[in-house]
Amino acid sequence: MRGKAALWLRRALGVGLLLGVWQLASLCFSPLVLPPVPQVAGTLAWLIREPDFWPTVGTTLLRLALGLGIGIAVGSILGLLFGLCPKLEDVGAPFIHVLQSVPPVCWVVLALVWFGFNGWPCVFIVAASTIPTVVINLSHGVRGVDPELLEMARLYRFSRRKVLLHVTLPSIRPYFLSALEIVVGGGWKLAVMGEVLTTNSGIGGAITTARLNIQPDAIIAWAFLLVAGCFITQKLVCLLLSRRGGAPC
Amino acid sequence: MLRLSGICKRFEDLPVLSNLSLTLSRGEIVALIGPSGCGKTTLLNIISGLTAPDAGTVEGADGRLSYMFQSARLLPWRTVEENIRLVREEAPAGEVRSLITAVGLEGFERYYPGQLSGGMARRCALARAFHFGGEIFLMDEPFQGLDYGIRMEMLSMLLSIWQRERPGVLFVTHEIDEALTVATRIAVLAPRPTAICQWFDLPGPEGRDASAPELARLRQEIIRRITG
Repeated sequence: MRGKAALWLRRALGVGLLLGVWQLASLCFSPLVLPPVPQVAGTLAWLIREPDFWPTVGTTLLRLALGLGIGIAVGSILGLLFGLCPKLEDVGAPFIHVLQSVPPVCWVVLALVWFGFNGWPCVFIVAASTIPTVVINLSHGVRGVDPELLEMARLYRFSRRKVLLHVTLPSIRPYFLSALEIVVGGGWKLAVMGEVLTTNSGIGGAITTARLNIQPDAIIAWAFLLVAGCFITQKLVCLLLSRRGGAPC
Repeated sequence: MLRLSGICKRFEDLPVLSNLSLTLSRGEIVALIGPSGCGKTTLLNIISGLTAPDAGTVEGADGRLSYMFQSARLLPWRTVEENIRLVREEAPAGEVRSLITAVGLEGFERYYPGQLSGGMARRCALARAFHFGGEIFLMDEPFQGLDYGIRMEMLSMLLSIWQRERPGVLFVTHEIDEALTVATRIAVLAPRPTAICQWFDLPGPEGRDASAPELARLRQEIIRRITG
């Protein structure tokens, strides 16, 4: 318990330092360049009490969830297939490489042409960047399954389904979890970036409005909310998936 | 009956097994004694079909075959009970229970392998092998690294479970006492490239006292053969 209290104390110290440096720096600039901490805190409180706060957050969350859902589903299937069948991976590798190395801004512009100004480009870029991360993690995971356990399963005549269920899937759980942590974190940033560039709704839309009204305090307040959202969703995913058996993450 | 004839195996330039032949019938416990690194595990892998021999034939290994590996190889994410039950799911639950009791793991059914000691994990693996059943049991130094008391206890457990179904057991060890206690026959292996250099027949019944005076001469001979 003592150790935990000390840990939180050190973390609080880190946050305090960050805020202190920011506050000091804000003394040297106009509030239009770098607003002071109390002003941003006030804006944050005001934002949350606005009637359209939850609909705005909900819109972004929906896009994020759709993009992540599609990306994780497609990525998991491809990752398993690639891991189980290396020849298939040779065929799929260029596809993954393209998804991985084309910058998200290119995808945004392309998706805008394909889908229009309706929010789907956000879903698309989140999915497009989620797929390669999940595929690479899972295919590595499948190939990293303990060969001794596979031999054991073979000698005890496990069916393919049984091997998948009791050996392969539980073995790749840590790989899947780390992929999830990465894509959830990255997804938030991409969803909001997509919104800024292709819509006027959601958190990205609110940031655009703040930019047009020259309200850096609102932009920083939204950034805070994004950090919080990212942290909470990552912890939530971790908590949901580390329940049954095995070590927590 | 398991029949190996003329088994040869080399790994790149290293000849491991050379023209090795042996037979194993139901109801026999054959102990293989040999220096470490002499290819005993390779031999068991060839019998079980995990490794293909370069030459020679394996007959009679296509039925049910249980293999107890040198390490326990339990699924870390399944409990003791699940690990045992999984190899023959259609069996009634009572069978698994009675095996767990037979290997002295009652009370630990819901434990995960990571929560067990090495000896307990081996006992779980032994129960799993017996639950799977079959005409042939391969055991690769199953009690290595366990202390004397547990080893003797596990040997008597092995015997009591073996007496129910009387499968053919091929048992690799480098403990002469283990072999003297349970084996019906002992094969001493020559160092690489390995072949059987001498067979010893043991008087029944199994479960002998390895320190009995009538086994002293046999033990001397085996030691002479190994160190020879």
